[in-house]
Amino acid sequence: MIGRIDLASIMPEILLLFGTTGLLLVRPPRRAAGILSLTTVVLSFWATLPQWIGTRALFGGTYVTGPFPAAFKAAALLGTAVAIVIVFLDKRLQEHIPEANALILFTACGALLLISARNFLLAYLAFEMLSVSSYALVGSRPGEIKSAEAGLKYAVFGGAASAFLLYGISLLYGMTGTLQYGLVGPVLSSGAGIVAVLFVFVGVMYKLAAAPFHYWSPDAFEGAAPSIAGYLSVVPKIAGFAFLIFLLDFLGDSRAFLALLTASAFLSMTYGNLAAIAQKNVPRLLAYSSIAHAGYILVAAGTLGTSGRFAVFFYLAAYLFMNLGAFLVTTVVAPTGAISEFRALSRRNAFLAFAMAVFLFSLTGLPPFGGFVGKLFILSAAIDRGAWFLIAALVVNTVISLYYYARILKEMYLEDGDETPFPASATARFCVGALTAGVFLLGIAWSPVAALLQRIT
Amino acid sequence: MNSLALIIFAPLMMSLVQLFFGKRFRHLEKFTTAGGVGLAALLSIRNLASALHGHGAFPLAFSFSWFGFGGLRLGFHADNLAVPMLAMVSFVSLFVHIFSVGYMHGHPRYSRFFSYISFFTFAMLGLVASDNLLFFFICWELMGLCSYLLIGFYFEERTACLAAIKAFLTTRVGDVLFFIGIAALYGATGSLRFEEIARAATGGLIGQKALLFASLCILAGTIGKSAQFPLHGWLPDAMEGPSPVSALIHAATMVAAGIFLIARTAPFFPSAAMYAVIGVGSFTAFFAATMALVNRDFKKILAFSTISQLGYMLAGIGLGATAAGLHHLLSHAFFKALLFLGSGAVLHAVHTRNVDEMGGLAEKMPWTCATMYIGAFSLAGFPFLFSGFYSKDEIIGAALLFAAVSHRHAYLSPGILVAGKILSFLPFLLLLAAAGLTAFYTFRMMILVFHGEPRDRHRWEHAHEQPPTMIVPLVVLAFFSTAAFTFAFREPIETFFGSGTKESAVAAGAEVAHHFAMIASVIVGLGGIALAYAIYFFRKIPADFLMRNPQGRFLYDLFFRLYWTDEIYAGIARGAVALARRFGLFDRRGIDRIVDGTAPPLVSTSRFSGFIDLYVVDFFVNLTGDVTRALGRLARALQTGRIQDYALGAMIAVILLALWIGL
Repeated sequence: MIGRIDLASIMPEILLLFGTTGLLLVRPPRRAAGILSLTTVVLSFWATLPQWIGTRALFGGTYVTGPFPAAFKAAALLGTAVAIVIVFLDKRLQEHIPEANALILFTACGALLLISARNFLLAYLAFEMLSVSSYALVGSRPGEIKSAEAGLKYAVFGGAASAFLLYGISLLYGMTGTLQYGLVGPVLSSGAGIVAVLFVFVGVMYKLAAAPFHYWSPDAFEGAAPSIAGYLSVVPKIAGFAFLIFLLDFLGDSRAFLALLTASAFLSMTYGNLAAIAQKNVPRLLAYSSIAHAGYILVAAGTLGTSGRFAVFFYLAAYLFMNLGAFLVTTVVAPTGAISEFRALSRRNAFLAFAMAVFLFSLTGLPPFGGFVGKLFILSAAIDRGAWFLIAALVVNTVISLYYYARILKEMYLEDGDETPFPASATARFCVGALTAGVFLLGIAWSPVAALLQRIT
Repeated sequence: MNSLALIIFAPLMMSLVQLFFGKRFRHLEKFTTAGGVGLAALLSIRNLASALHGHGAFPLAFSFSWFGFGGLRLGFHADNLAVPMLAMVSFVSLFVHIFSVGYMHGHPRYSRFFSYISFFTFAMLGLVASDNLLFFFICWELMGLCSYLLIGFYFEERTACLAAIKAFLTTRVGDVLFFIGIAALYGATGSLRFEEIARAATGGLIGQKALLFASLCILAGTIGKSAQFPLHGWLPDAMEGPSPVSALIHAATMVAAGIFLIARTAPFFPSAAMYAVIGVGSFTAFFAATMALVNRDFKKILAFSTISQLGYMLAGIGLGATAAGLHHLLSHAFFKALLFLGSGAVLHAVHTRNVDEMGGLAEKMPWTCATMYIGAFSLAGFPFLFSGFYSKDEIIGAALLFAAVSHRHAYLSPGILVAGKILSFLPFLLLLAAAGLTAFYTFRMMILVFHGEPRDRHRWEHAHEQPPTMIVPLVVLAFFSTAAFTFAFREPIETFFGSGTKESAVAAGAEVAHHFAMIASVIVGLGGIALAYAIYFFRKIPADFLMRNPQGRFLYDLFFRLYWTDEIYAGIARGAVALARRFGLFDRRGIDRIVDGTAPPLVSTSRFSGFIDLYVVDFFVNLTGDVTRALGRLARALQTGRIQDYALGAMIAVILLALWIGL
């Protein structure tokens, strides 16, 4: 049955597409492009607001809106808005702001579709929309061989992963004759069903940059401009986790899938943190750290249940602020990404150093910052579930992670170096301030957010 | 979230801003923290006003849950006890801020100073508004920390460091007991909220012995924080800190937190614990006043007087007159802050704390002198015109009433009844005597500082009046030390804290007792002032009349050397060390022989375990480090940068995972 065409419900996606087209056709100057993109995102955000009330299935149930997807969309759009500002500040993308923004809006559109998809075909298309524009974004640093190489590698690896996903989906389709999420449940425990589950799993983990399908992310983050890396570490991840959460509605019954999740959570945390220790390039370090964070969130996702879903979303929300914040400061302070560029930052620009310290402490998971509260929710969900092995791994990994985050802190506060003042533009200061405030807010006054989320998860 | 949250957290925010960015705003630093505290003052005074215009009860509350353990909710509420306290704390703090702008001018750690006192203000406001023991205790400890930092603010001087350590360690004794008390209450009731604990206690859900134990532990916390006997020794030494700190922390607010704690927890104190409260309070009131009589250090005289006045408040609450105790707390906060700030102004001018080197400063510093006189009159309880008179009077009246109706408490056998009757008069007598002493030492101090011939010409010539930023706070606080304060706030205080007597049957008796107490204390107070003038101003009686005979000499020494309490504590410490040595000797002579016999086998065993340690345990310890690093290297090695390797890695991963899920 084909549902009534309900344009209002897909208005956010439509607006983003309009924005993309407009940017590419008109190619406005730098500032206008930024303002136009931001306006598009704000309008799109405004269009998602009606979705907070009531659940609606559209297009024969392939596309579902409701409060929980709307929360994910809000987070994704917020991340997009911040990313647009960061890109605007990135000195190395100055000439290509309209293109970069167009690609970002296109990616965001894919993210929104993936969040609402309840049908494998639509999900796959959204997934590709997200991926293909990401490849282009990584390769978009003009005239830099490293950027082009990273983009190409990402595309090749992404192509392989997406082949896995597509193969898994077609197996499911072959067995059940349907692509609706909920209807494939009965065949999952059969032999072919388990293969399909494994293949779908590979696709999802690739999108989340979770071990052992994370290979693309350090190279891509190092090769891309730091601003783009920040965007890619947050928004696709939000969409990917939404994808995973809604898959788990029926895949949660599959023991194989849960075993895979556990393995991946453990590997991601451990691998990400261990590999980050040796890094000297900040975006690369943050790439490994974001692999580890994907592992933490997978712990929560694997616990199923509402407390797990709640923990996933809360952690993503905190992660949005702290990770984008860290990338934002990196973009402003260290365009090349070398850790030595942070030297003596506390004397050059105390505000940026303080904000960076807040982001890093939050990423480590220290109170009173959002990352701490998020981790607390993950642990509490895992304790309810009795996943002691993962809990132990998470705690040990948190301690390890302090080591490499502290290296940046040491560089900023303890090392002596050039102390000429480093002025930051008003936009940068405002944006850094807002993200810092967000991290504090989620760490101190998180109860209203939690109350709202507990109602919708 | 509401204005209460803003009241509590605005000073905290500003303090942190100041701490981290203080140096950035070189010229703004005096405004940031004062702004936060000023906002808090404005809002809390508005709250007070709206609570007054509304009905008596005005619970303004917000709460938030923190860590989901045991259903713990941390909340704040501005109830009857808290609303006036919030206003007082933020108001006094604001004027101390303003005063400090001038007082600390030019100090290298200028901006840090403001950060500390603003942080302290946050802790005190949080404590007052906390509705549970946990947050109360957290703020309590934060104040202890601030107090330590601020007493030792001039850490270049050794005495300041030692005083800070002494204050921290002495109060720690009380804090540990307080914490044990909290744990006991939590164990008995499963809750940390004052309200729920009180409900459980009055409902008989807690055993009497447990309740008594917990109450005494809480009292111990108060004894430490409010410098009551026997943990009073730290407060005089704390005068090493800057004067505005003494005014804010060691007179008006932090030391009053102990009193506030008793007021909060009094609803569930068993009567035996209340007797302990009365005993400690009234004894300390008298005891500390005697030490102030002969002291020569300007600020230490005020410190002893603070200890003594805190004793009054404690006794008032113990006597069942919570309203009177808190009334005295509020009025004391203003006039004592005034006196300390005034003393700060004087020190700033003459650079000494020794009253022997002052004298005749009235003509040099007319404003300081005039405002301090108002504070002194208030402290001495000069009748009718000053706030201190009214609040102190209520407590003395309550003590008399307690003595008069004490047969109600006489559950003891009739034989002890008479002794009990006499004993029950003791608080009244002690407090009344202390009132006389207070009047005397206050005016002794004032005359020595401001009148007579300058005893140190050089210092006198260099003395000068202070700038307006320091005078204006004095004038404002002086205004609130007069009866204007009482007339403005007596009614609200009664509405807020409840009237002093609970039973209407004794209300009539209360009237009579109060009138009698008032007459007695007027006589004693005026007598004290007159004596001070006779001795030090008109010199009708020689100042050294005490020294003429050995008993007097002994008394003088007793007071001047603070009853040798410092020596006694040092002696206890030395005794403990000596005892430890003695044990050590016994150890070496007796036990060691036996131990020595077991040595050879032990040595070989420990060689063996040392070997194990070195080669087995250390191996594993080193292994963890090595493995971590090796894994890091491995992880890095896997990331070759070649896309073929990545694809291969992914394929191997798929195969391994397929094996893992049992395909």
